[in-house]
Amino acid sequence: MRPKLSFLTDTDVDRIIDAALTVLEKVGLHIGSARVTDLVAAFDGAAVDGERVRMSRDLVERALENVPAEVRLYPQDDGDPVVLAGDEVNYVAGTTVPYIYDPTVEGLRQPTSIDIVNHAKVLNHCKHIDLQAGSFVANDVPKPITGAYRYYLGLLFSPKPMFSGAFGISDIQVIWDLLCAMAGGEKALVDRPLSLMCVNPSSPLGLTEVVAEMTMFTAERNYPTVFIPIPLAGGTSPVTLAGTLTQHTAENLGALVVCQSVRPGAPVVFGGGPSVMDQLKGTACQASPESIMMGAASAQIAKRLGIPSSTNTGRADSKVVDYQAGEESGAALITMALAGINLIRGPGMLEFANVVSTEKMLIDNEICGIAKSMVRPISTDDDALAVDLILERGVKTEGFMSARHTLRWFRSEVYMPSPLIDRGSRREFEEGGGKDAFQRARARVDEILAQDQPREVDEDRVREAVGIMTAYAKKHGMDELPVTGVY
Amino acid sequence: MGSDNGFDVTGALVELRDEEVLAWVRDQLDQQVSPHDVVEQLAAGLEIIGRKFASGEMFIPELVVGGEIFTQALDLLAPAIKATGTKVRHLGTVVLGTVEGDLHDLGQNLVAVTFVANGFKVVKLGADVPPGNFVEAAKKHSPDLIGLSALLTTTMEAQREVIQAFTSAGLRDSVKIMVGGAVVNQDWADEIGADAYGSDAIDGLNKAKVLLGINY
Repeated sequence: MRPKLSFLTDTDVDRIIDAALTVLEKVGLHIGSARVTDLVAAFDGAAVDGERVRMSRDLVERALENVPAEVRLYPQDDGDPVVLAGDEVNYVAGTTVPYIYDPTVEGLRQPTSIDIVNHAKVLNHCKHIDLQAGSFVANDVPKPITGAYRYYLGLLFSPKPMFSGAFGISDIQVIWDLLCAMAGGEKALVDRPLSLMCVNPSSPLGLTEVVAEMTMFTAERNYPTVFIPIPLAGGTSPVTLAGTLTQHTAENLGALVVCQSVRPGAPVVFGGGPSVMDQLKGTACQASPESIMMGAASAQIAKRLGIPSSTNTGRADSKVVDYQAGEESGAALITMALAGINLIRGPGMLEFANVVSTEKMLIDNEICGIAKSMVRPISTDDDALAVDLILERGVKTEGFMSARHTLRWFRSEVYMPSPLIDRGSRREFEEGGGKDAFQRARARVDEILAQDQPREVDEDRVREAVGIMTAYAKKHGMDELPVTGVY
Repeated sequence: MGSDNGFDVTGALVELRDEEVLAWVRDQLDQQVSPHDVVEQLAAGLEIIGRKFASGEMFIPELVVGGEIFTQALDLLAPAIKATGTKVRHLGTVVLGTVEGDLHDLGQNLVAVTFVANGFKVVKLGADVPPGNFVEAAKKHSPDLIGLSALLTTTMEAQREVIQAFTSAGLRDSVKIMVGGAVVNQDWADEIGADAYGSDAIDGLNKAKVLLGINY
């Protein structure tokens, strides 16, 4: 049995979906692009109402008919694809933040190219984090190119599939060109997508012009898209969890209808980050118990609809990598795995998802490994029950360490974290300098970067990507990029 | 206290009994009680709400609703106040808006509630506000302070555009401009020539008081 965590009964799930369909039927979505509005309006069941497009139940149900139940994303190297289907769990590094937590100053700093590169190099050693994301917004390049620049550095320095969006209509084409370059052409990219494109509906119930156009862009190309509405209970959605889930579902389904109107059968992922507003501080909590509850519930809804799922969970609201951060990320990363969510986007994030710490990402990687180990079934086959072994050794005092049964089973039964998780003796702890988890992670980051070698990558593709990014930078006043190759 | 049968309107406001509060205000107007006396009792209620909020006994939804009841009461009293030829004493007028291209107005709403609860008059322009609309609002409301909110790296540039619009209109020196939002910081505020940066609603309030020379 694959352990599963559920927060809703099937009846609850159906009630939420039904409520979401009512919302779409009665008020629909606000779509900021006239072109996209016209496209959707041409379908039976769509009704334009001022700047809103109402969508009938039948229209939504038809849109769902051809949506694939599985999406695959591919690394640049020969690694296994990331499968988004069923209860497959995959983790995504945290993303697109304006600040890095810098341990040398014990505080925040604005990131630069080297931070993005180093973060990618460390991520390559995080075997339990399956996808990269746009990590940081670089401060050493012109602002208008920062969206595409994250892809450029990420694609050059890590082979992991990318989970990220675009900042605007102007940079989505550049991003697409970069992806095509690193994939070896547009056909190769669409056949084996190197990334998942995020689009963010605005809560409540809106698609800005940029988001509507981006949805159209990826759907036209049959490229996978994930919708990420982030309703805030008590702020931009009802304070009741069910009300937020209703709105969240409506925002996903509305965006899905837009996508399927452009191209029926285009691959999509039902995603988002429903969370709560702290009722005293007004802050958008990423790590509250409700984020976990709604994240898991939203996955149940996605599964009911037959679509892969994604959540913005596993982040910390804490400002530092401390016990609170451990509780916040730990609780979420593990429970989301138990909920069977296909993409869990959070490792490395702090401070309401405004900050990323490379050291925290390494520690979170351990939690991801622990979480994946916790969704193993416990085998109760005859060999696992070990009755014969118990009958034999249970009457003696020699123990079980030397048993051939132990040799056969120990690797699969006992999950072994990396030394970043301290399970040694006190003597070893003291001889190692008495470091806590954050200090150990810091040392490991330094070690990874000191021993790093340039990754193997197709030189022609890199040259093409450098050319694309350089041309874009020149348009915005930068003649030479800070990084012009893989090192 | 109230000049009628001892109805505790201050307490009623703290308990967010909106219909009773507004009914009492209408009643006071009918009896031609001084509108300033009425405002004073309501302001006392708002101050209590503010204190309870600061100590964690009351929460944001309660602060917001309290502020709304107060504002509705002021609207009812406005004609009577105007007729006295004097103005309601408040600490200043603030115009708030989220800049063009940005739809996030939660922060703006939290700042609005905080300023209202602390004795300011607030005009909210909402989200996606072009620079010209801020200038028009300034001409209409003569604010002491304008607060600009931007949540995204892609929209923060619009804060600079608003400041430039005020300069072009010859109004830059007539108003203080504060910027805020998750991606904004003091360096950015300095770069674009803002008068202050507010890192959260309370910080914004404290800095506003400094900018406007209010020391209570």
